[in-house]
Amino acid sequence: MNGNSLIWTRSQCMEAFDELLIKIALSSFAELEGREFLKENEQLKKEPEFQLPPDHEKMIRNAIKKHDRKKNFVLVRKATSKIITRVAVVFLTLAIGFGTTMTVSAEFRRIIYNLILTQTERYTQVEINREYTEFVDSDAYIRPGYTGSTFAPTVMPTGYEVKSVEDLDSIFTVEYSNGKNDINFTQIKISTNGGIRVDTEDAQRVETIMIGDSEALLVVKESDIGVNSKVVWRIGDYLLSLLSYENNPDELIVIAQNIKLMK
Amino acid sequence: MIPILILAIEDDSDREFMITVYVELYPTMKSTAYQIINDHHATEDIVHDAIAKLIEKLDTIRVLERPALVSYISRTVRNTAINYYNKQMSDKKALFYGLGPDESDIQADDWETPEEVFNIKADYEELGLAIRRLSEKERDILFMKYNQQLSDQEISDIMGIKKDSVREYLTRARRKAKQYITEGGAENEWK
Repeated sequence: MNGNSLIWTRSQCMEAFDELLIKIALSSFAELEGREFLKENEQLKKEPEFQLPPDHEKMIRNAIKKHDRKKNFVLVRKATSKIITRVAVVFLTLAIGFGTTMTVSAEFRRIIYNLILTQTERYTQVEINREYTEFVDSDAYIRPGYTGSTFAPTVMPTGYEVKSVEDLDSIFTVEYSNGKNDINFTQIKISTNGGIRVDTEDAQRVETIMIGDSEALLVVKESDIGVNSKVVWRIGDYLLSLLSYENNPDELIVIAQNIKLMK
Repeated sequence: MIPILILAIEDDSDREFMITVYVELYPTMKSTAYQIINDHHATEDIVHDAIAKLIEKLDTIRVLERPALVSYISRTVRNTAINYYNKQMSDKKALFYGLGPDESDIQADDWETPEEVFNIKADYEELGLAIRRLSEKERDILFMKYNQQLSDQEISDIMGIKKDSVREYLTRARRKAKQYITEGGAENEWK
């Protein structure tokens, strides 16, 4: 077929028509066999040799959660470094008496700056809707060779137990689970350039609240795998965060308010 | 292995889509692979490889209607399994489609002929039934070319034939498809 000609010959038209007809026929056949496959799939679900192991989907989702956490940590090492640098620039600018406008003015950054720089007297009312249990799993928080501070929750909603521990030295995460939901408690030593990225884009709820004497960021956000809730705050050189894969920010606040320094 | 593949997907929505596809259609994917290689252990690897290929085609498959999506997925698994089979059997000089001449003429007669006569306003479904009359080999190569948009090189790799032969096979399959589409029609305005 001559692609440069605007006028097709009869044979060119017929050739193109044949091609199109075959494509339509294949598309039709794909739908026919697809419907058959779907019926067959329902039958195969009953046959053990063609079934996924029962906990396979949960395993995938857990792996994704873990992966997301690691990815966020990596991404934010640089981001936090930049923030700290910019904070230093702001201080310097103020000190020498010049007014300036920060170019990093997004809401997220403002709140992060507040986390790093300010402490206020504001407090947040917290309603307790679920039963809590005094909870200190000291074994999970034993970190041989680690010389820094370690924080641990002293209460958890009833039913939660330690599921996994991930110790990357400057980033320490303990994952709790009640079988239906997971709650991750992460502590990051920010003096080593660690940090945490808080994704607030299109969040249902973004608030600053008080955890003890520290201002904290509360985020509730819908994702494709459901609503998750986060609380992020700072104690000294540490950024602490609680993440839950449920819409339960009040529970996270209660846990956060009962986190203590272990050593 | 599957979680790692799926973890590689950056977009949350795409990732959720692939998890759903994997969990929901795993029986069909495994069965499709098993029908070709008859080895439960190897089918796992084939399904994993197929998932990797599907991830590369996410933009294409996400717009498909459900039956067409299932067909696409099943055919991707099938191609992967055939490719695996051919590689396993290459030392025995036994390919999935056989080494001899195309037997499509013989196999084509095994299919039931649509009763209704084809014409240019033929029912959409009837066109699909015409494709059903093709041999597996002819149908597979047409799907690889048109639906899965594989290159001649990719088709030759899967089918275990020379790249130069792909065009020949395609021409033959197209001709046969056209024949079945037109056979039922008493009056073909386009012929």
